[in-house]
Order: sequence, then structure tokens, then C-alpha cells
Amino acid sequence: MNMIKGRYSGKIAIAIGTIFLFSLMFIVRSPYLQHVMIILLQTITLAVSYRFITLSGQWTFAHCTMMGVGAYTSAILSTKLGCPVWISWPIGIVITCFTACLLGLLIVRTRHVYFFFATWAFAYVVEITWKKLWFPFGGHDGIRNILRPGPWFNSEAHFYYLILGITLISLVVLYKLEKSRFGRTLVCINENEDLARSIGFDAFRFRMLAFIIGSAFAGLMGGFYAHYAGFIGPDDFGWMLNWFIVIYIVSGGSRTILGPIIGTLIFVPVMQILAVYRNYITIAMGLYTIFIIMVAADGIEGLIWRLRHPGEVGVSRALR
Amino acid sequence: MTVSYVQRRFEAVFFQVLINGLFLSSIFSIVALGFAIVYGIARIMNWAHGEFYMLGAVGVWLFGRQLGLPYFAAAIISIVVVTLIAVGIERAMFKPLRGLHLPGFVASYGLSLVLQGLVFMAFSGHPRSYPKVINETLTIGAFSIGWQRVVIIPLAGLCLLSVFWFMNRTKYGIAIRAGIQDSQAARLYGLRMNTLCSTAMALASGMAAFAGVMLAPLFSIEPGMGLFVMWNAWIAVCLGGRGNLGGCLMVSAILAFMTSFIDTYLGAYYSLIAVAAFFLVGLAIRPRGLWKGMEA
Repeated sequence: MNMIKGRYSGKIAIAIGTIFLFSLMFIVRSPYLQHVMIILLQTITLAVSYRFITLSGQWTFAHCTMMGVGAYTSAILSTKLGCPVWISWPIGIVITCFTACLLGLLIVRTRHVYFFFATWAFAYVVEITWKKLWFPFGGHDGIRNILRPGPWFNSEAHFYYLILGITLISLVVLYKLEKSRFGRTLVCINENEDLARSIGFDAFRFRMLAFIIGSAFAGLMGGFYAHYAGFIGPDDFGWMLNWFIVIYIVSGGSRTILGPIIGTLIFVPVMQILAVYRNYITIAMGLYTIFIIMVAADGIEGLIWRLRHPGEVGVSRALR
Repeated sequence: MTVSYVQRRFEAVFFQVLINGLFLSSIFSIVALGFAIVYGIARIMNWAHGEFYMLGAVGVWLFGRQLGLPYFAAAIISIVVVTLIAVGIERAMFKPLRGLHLPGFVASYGLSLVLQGLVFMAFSGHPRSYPKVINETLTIGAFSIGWQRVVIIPLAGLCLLSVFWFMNRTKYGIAIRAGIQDSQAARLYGLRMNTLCSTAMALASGMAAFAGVMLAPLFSIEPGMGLFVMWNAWIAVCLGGRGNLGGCLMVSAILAFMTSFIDTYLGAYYSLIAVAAFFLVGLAIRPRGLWKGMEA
């Protein structure tokens, strides 16, 4: 017990967890459960990269839309122009970064909820464009028969290992970025912008970079989703999914990287179970959101933190 | 001969754009003004504000069409019921969230989902309609329009005037304005924030329900009808300078005339895109709103 509480406990836990995740495909044999696992891992990466953007105090509402930009780019390049998947996927990420850059130039100066709504407007415009333009986006029908990444990808298990690798690498990269000088500058800019500017940090540039980096991960996931599902449509990246990401972060908490992961691990399986009761799903989602916010405005993670540190004030950084 | 045809055509389109613009701007400004008042005093982005508008229309349908009351009785009952519901919600849910921007917003979004879901469960999602109260049409040259639509403009103007009278001339209204300007200083002068927030919420939800009641005979009544109005009201508040009631009215008028003009010439999808683009560009030029507002 003492050894577990020692300084290596975190690393041991991570190692055991990684081995467990890699061996999971030998235990879970049902394709449906494997599919749920893949979606779960993909959503975790999305949520964690979303949290990276919120480090600078910007809550975007276009994260799923950015994922859609990556997905559509990669799908169009590979199906209509015959581009190999391993080239079209990175191009999708680059286009996503470019889109994020253009959008950021317009609206990064706005703060908090105003940024949120400006990105909402952007998501709205993009969704309508996807639905209205038959060429090249396929309108309401979307794009079908998207190539798989290679001939050897023929079962869910292969995709599981692919997404597991991508997710682990993304988590490590985002964690290191947050702990680096860059990430700490972002936190500083969020906490006191005037102070950060007086030291000489260009708040605009740091916010832009955070937005672009977060969106790049969304583009990465979009490419994965397009080539995994084989079909994409405007509803796969609609405003409901944008909302889901916000709810993962708000319900899980955004104090550390664990918050979005907790939120996703609770919410995605619950939604998969509730999908049976179609008529009640909106009420269930609304009640869940209200309940979480009323009980803990800084998420489940903040609740655990407060239970372990009674008497200390602990409102999450990004939620003020 | 052709000149007269062109002139008649121009007349028709001109009056259509004008009357529709006035009509939409009166609706947008009533909803947006209530939203701005609640945001100003409680610092809560109440996304469920559009749902009060929806509940007002559903109430008219329920009391008038299903229970057989006359339109005016149904309208008054509906407004009163929605106001009571809103004040109850404010007391139970928004009180601990005052001043927390994002949690307040996300919780109110959850509330909007719950209200929509409840209406969906109770009355199903089929679009309902309510018969017109006034059946005459107004004809100006080559252009004709139902009086039902025209009557809303002076009614909304009356509502706005009385709200401005309330905010500028009565004790409670001035107290609410003081709370919008500086809630701490207002509290130091002995104003009760709880009472003020509830009053503001009652006023705002009553206005939203009034808009819903007026529109019930014109639009199809369904659980998702609040989104269109709420979206425009939000942009009006955001671009008009938060807490700046006059700016909010100006932007609602701009949005309404833009929507009406583009709807007439291009189609409804393009007006949605144009409104969103106007919002993005406006925020890019002036991140804090086109007019001077309070600090966020």
C-alpha cells in the first residue's frame, strides 16, 4: 500500500492502464462494444484537446465543426481525387489549422461566452454550407464509400489499436504542452491578461496558437472518423455534438487533464444506454446538465477535489 | 405600360420588406430586451428565454384551442402562468448561479432542453396552428397583408414604451437599472438583489410570453420554435453592448430588416448565413459590442 502511494504510483497506474487498454481487444469480442470503445477513445482525445483551448480562457463551440472540416477534407480528397489516405489525412489537419487560423483572426479578441457564441455562429454557417452545397460536400446525403486507411484494416480491432495509439500520443503531447512554458503562459494569460501583457507576452498570439493547436487535434480525429465510419454527413458534426463536448468538459471538470476524461467516460456510455429511450433523451441530457452544475459548478473532478480537501476554496480556473 | 408594372412590383416588394422588417424587429426587440435585462441584473445568459416565448404560444394553443377559452382570456392566463413558472425557476435554479457566466449559460441550456422535452412529451412534436383572430387584409396599392401581422407592430411598440416607462419612471425599474449598472453599489444602498432579480425575471419572461402569445396565430407552434427568435435576440444583446438597452433595440432592428430583405430576394437559408456573418464581422471589428456597454 505504501509503495502504491509512493512517488511512482502515478507511473505504475499509467503503465497498468496502458497494458490493460492494449489487451482489451482480447477480452471484448463483440463488434458493437469494440465500436463503443473506439468512439470513446476518439471522444476522449476531442475532449482533452478542447480543454487545451480552454486553458487560455476561450470556450469554443466549433470543436466538432473543426473535426468535420478535417473529415470532409480528407474524405473529399480520398474519394473524389483518389489521394492515398495517409496523405489526405494530414492535408485535412492542415486545412483545419488554416480554418482555425482564419476564424481566430476574426474573433480571438472576444472573450468568454462571446467567443463561445461567435464560434457558434461559425459552426452554424459551416453546417448550412455542408447541407446546401451538393458539390463537393454531398448535401444532406454526405459522402459515402470513403476508403479505409489500408487493405489490412478490416476489423474493428485494427481501428481500435490505431485510435489507441493516436489517443495515447495525443494525451502525452497535450499534457507536456500544458506543463511547458507555453502552457503556463496560457494559464497566466487567462488568469490576468493585463499582467501577462505587461511582462511582454502577446496575448493575441498565444490565444491564436492554443486555438489552432486544439483544432489540429480535432482535424486529426475528423480524418480518423471519416476513414473509420466510411460515411460522413452534416449531422455527424452538427450542433448537438458540439454541445456534447461542452457537456463532457463542464460535467467532468477542467482543472486537470483527468476532468474531460472522467466526463467522457461517464457520459458516452450513459448516452449509449439511453439511446433506447429516444423520446426522453433530451430531458435526460438537460436534467443531467442542470444536476451536475447545481451540485458542482466545477465538475465531478472538482467535487472529488473538494471532498478530499475540505475547507479550501476551489472553483475551476476556466469557469469563472 | 412596363413602367407601371415595374412601379407596381417595386411598391409590392418595398412594402413587404418594410412591414415584415417592422414586424420582425418588434418581435426580436421584445425578446431581446427581456434577455438583456435579466443578463444585466443577474449576469446569467438565460438561453431558456426562448423557451418562455415557446411556452407562451403553447399556452395560448392549450387554453384557447384545447380548453375552448376566448383568445384574450387564453393569452392572459398563458402570460401569467409562464411568468410564475419563470420566477419559480429563477428562485430555484438561477439564484446560486448568478455571476457565473459559463455555468449559468450551460445550466440554462439544460433547462431549455428539459422544457422542450416536456412540451414534446405532453403535446408531441407536431406543428400546431391557431386560427387567426383578425381575418381582414390590408391593401396598399399592389401589396396586401393580413391585419394580424400589422397589428403586432403597434402592440409591440406599446409593450416597449411601457417597459421603458417602467424602467425609467417607477421605483422598481430605477432600482433594476441601478443593479444593472453596479450590483455591489446598489446592494450598499440597501436594494435587495433577490427581489430585483425576481422582478426582472418576471418582466422578461412576461415579455417573451407576450411575444409568443401575439405570434401564436401566425407561426406554427412546436417545441423548437424558440430557437430562431432566441438566436437573433442573443446577437442583438451581444452586438448592442451588453446591458445597453438602446443598442440592443438598434441591433434587433438591423437584424430584422436584413432578414426581411434577404428573405424576400434570396431565401431563408441565406438570411441565416447573412445574420451569422454580420455577427462574426461585428464582433471582429468591435469585440465589446457596437455600442458602449458595461464590462462583461
